[in-house]
Amino acid sequence: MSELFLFIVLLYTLSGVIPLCIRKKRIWSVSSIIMCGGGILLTLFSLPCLLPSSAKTILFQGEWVTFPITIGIDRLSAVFCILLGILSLSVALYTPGYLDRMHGNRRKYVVSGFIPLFLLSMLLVILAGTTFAFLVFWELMAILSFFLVLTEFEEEKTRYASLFYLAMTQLSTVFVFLGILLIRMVTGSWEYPALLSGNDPLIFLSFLCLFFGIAIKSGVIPFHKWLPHAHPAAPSPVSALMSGMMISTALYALFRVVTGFYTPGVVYGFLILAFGCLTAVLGVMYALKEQDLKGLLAYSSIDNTGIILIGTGLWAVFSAFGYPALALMALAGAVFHAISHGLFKGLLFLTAGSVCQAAGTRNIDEMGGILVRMPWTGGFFFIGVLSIASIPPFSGFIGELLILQSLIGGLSELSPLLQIVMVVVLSLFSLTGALTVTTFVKAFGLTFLALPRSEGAKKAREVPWPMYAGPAVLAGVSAGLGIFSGQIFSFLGYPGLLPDLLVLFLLLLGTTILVYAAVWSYASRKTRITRTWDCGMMAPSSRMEYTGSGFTEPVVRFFGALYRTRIFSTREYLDPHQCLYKSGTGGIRLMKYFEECLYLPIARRIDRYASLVSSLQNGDVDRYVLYVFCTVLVLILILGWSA
Amino acid sequence: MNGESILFGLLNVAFVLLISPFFMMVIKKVKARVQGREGPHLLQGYYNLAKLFRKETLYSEYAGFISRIAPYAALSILLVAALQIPLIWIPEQELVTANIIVFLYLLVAGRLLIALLGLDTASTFGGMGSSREMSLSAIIEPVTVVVFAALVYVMGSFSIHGIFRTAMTTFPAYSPTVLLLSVPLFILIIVETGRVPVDNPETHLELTMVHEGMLLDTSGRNLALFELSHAVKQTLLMAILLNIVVPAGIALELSAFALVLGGAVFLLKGTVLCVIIGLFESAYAKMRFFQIPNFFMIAFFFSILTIFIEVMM
Repeated sequence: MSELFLFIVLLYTLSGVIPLCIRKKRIWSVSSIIMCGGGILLTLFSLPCLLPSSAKTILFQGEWVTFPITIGIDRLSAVFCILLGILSLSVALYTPGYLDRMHGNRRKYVVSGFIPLFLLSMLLVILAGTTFAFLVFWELMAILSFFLVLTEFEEEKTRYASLFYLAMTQLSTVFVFLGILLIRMVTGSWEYPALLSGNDPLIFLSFLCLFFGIAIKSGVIPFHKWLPHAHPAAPSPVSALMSGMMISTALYALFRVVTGFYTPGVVYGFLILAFGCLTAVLGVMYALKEQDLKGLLAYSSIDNTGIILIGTGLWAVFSAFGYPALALMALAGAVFHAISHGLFKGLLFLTAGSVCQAAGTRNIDEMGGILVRMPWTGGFFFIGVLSIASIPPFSGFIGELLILQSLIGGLSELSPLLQIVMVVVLSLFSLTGALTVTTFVKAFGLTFLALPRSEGAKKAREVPWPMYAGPAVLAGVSAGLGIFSGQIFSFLGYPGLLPDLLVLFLLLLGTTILVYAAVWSYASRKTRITRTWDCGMMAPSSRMEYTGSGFTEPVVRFFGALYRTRIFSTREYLDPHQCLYKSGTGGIRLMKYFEECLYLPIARRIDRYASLVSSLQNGDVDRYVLYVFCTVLVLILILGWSA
Repeated sequence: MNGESILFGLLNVAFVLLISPFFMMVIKKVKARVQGREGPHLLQGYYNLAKLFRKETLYSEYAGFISRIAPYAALSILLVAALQIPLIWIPEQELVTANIIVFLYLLVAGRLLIALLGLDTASTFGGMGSSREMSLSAIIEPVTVVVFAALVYVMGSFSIHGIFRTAMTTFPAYSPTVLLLSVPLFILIIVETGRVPVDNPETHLELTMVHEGMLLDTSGRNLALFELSHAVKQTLLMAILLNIVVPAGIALELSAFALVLGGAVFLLKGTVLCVIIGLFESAYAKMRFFQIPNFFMIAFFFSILTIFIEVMM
């Protein structure tokens, strides 16, 4: 077991080091093959650890006693290892083709070398067995992903995004570090604590620190602002990994901390629940109005984080009030959704990456008509859309179903005050679901359907087969995970949580075939291809179509209070009575609420504080001598006093 | 899956398919009469479908696979959803897929397909319809979920079979809970089937149309399938309201007499509800698009009120 694990680590390292050291043409295809092997082996290696009977296995034990590093696998980490294995496989298939079409030369080696190392760092975070090891690998993951975001460094936007990312991710590490130190103060060891409880304020403080650290990494609103900058700025395979896997890694940490470290408490539960609702609703609202295809996907990752947080928060609340069955259902929903989100978000980012590369733009308003030009990529994107819009029986539906069931169940069981909380969460949760569907009708419909709205989109061509084989793996797993969800849950030892979706799938398939057969045999089969109805004028052009901004305008107007839209106009007139209109301007501005009301004020305050400090440091030797003198004087005084 | 479940499925689906066009025509007839017109023959719905199925189907040259798949998928999704809602007979054994959330998300699936279909043909009307439909659905969805959550909470079952059974055995129609629930359920019918004051099913004017806009470029058998699935959806939503408020007549055990009686009673109940819907439509004017959320809020507050009243009791 342990040897196999070390072999997998070796494979990942090898596929990372090879392109960094050997500068041969298309060396990344060799590295990809090794990574494919690593991914498949990792998936197979983790599968047996999922069984209900399997216990925690130690894979590696560091010798260093002061700062122990242990690596071990248990059921929770095995789940995420499988996700990582599948994502590695599909990204490995996808990356060579993407790199071939990317501009720039040296950076391709760096990207293909850093991707396996980044994956390895996440694997180690998931398998870390001590808080110290966790911290080390967490920081490693942050730094590797920072360099990957910086790949296209010539662009101003990318530099801004990566610096923003670096600042936020270091903040996250600081919080995690503080949390881990506090736990060390409470328990006196670097081992993962087990179900801490009691009135010690340090315990709650450590929870807060860990939660904020994880929240920053997984894009919880209001700590999310870096995410929609950084995820789209990276090359698409990296975006897929950041949204699909890095967020999942952070969520793994959340599950570990919330379910393992602390005894579930009501306060923990409500805290997570409140952040979850805020994140889910606002995340999807921002996703809806986003015009950048990859930015839209990044915001939608935030909203899915929110959904998972809601599930986790419900687990804590139900556990604290003593409803283990409901709690289990909520937690199962949250974990399942984390996995399926990793899969379908990876799928969506990879296919969206192909589209953006082929069309030469990321703006949805400049796309359109891609489905005819890239049928395979479009088809797999569609499966991703069905999953994320939680259409039964695809995988995105399962998580939402379980969380909804536990919410409605909680509505019937709990005390009146909590019932009100449940109703509020329920309506926000379903609002999120509905807006997600709208968002992805926009993302799919306006990108892939109808007519191309730019020259780039018109010239888009299908990518070579490995670039859709990677997404195809994810699409297959994503659909299979949903269809066989009932069987999977019984296999894992949790039967009866949800209706059998395999039957539903067979029914849907059977009915569709029957309807088709009936229509085919009884109705007229005459078919003609013709022009879209044009009101008797001329053939509709792409200028007459709805654009992405137009499509979502009604929702933006319905929720105008949340978007803080400002419509402004100025007019100039020729005459003093303001009758003859001369010229004017008008526009709609969407306020970046968190950036303008939270981030910038804090940044300004830090700036002011820093300028105060920097005036102390003016480089004048005399002044430094004065500081030393004062310090010595103060020390003498204090020591003399205490003596 | 035993024999009884299969028999139930076949019977239910066949019955829904059979009566749905009739209910559509009853509403049309009532509206026409209120406006002083003669109105269509009550069997006109069947003639229309037969005519459309015989006609040639046109596809836009810009359209992709969505236009080809959506009509079949839309109908089959609703037929699978129909398995969840017993109209005339509740079998002893529940289906394995019987879950109210599955039913709701099947409706969402149908809506997603139709909205994409509207965008597929590159027509401005389609884009307009699908944009409006998705915007409205974003607001109605939380309302729908809360209404159904209230239903589950009051009736104590996640499957609609169980809900109808409880409604039949424990709740008299005049109980305040049922009366309160009937208001949001009625509003749901109006919204989900695109009726005045939310949408106008008769118009093809770009200012007002929502549902029709998306279907503007479908024809022949595809249009027939969409019309049929629209009618099926209306019947299913009507059945939820009817079998909760007036559950009388549903057969609980299998016998030819009980089934015929159940069918006849449902036909009667459905016709009465259709007349009410027709009168309701005639009494209102189409609402301004941006005022529709207020209408949904009525449904939302009624369902919240139901939950609170149950909490108090």
